[in-house]
Amino acid sequence: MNMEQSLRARVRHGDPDAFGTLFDEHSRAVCNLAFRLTGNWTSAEEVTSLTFLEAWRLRAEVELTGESLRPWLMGIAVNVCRNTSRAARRYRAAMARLPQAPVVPDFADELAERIDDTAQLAKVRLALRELRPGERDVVALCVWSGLDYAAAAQALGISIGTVRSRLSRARSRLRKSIGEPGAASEQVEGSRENAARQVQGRIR
Amino acid sequence: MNDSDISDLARMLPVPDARDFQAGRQQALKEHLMTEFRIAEDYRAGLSPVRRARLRPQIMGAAAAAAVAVAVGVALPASHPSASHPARGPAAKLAAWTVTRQADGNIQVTFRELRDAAGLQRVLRADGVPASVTFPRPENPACQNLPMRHPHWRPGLTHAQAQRGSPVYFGPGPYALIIRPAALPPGVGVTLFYPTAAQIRTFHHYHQHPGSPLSPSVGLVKASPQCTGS
Repeated sequence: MNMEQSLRARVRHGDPDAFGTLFDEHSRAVCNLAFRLTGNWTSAEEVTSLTFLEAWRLRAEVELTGESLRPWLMGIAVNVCRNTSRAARRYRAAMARLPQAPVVPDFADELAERIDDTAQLAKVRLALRELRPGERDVVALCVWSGLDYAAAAQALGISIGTVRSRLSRARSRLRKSIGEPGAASEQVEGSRENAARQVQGRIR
Repeated sequence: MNDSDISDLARMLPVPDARDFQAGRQQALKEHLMTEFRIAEDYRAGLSPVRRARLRPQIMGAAAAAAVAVAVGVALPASHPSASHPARGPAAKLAAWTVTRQADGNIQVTFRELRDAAGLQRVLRADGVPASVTFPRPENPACQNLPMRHPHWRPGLTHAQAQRGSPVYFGPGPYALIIRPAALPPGVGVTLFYPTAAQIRTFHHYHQHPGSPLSPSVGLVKASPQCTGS
């Protein structure tokens, strides 16, 4: 039995230490996914906690064989983002006990960077409104979190074909809303570099 | 895999680079979760509140007890720990709860066990808070509950915002309770008790995790000699 299989077995069995390992390995990715979807780091941390509380509740669905549990967690995270108030109601007592984030002095550079990030995400969230919820989910998983089609399909409980068609529809919808004529060859140089960096960034 | 969809979408929806948690924050969130999982396990085990409270010292090992004793000694030097354990070995140093007066006049009670209710009641009353403390038993029937604003937690709301204006609230840690004497209206006291099933369904008190051995309910009551001693 390899490490991943044994971790799966322990998660399924409800071993808190196994969930601790999952948290160490994946909480940063879950939180960044939530940050991109919510546009707010405090909300993203709350979504992260709710995601792991949901994972604990849903642990019986973990199969004993398979690769990393990251797609499973990411799938839970996008569901929590979609309906945060329902998840928050379910874990009201637990969330009331969530330790408050410490207030730390912001350095000017860091603060400016954070404001830029928030402004950038506000624009992205505006664009995301053009998409249907299912399309938004596959964008979050495949484009921002680097899951391949099979992993995203598994995370969302849909077929690979559906992942592919949702991505393709998301692309056409956004192009139409931006008013872009189409092909990638029409990108300006700066944008292409940006795209390359994004694709690079999602390969882990 | 069709990377042209992905790269086009990445270009149209550019997001900031991945960010890290603030120093210590990931660990704090992890510890919160681990505590919640343990509470869920206790709850699922289906022990009665009183039985669970009795079992708690055995569940915590001697090592954990020693660690807590050190933490209390270092972090809360000007506090009143409960003195229900006479000094007998490492476990004897473990206080069931600690009361600390903060610089802003607020009183923080940190629970490790729901034990020695009478001792806590005495300390709170000595600190000028009309108090009835009955955990791990239900509320004193002589107490007359007063309505209180329930801190509805919702996404994006900080803990401080959720609790603003309330004379009593849970936090900042999992098992801490803050009492703000300055926010207590005259003639109003505090009740700390173990809720009945019917009380858990109402919103007249703040409940932590119902059924947890470490979660009393807290509410406001009319101060009276029978309930709060004055």
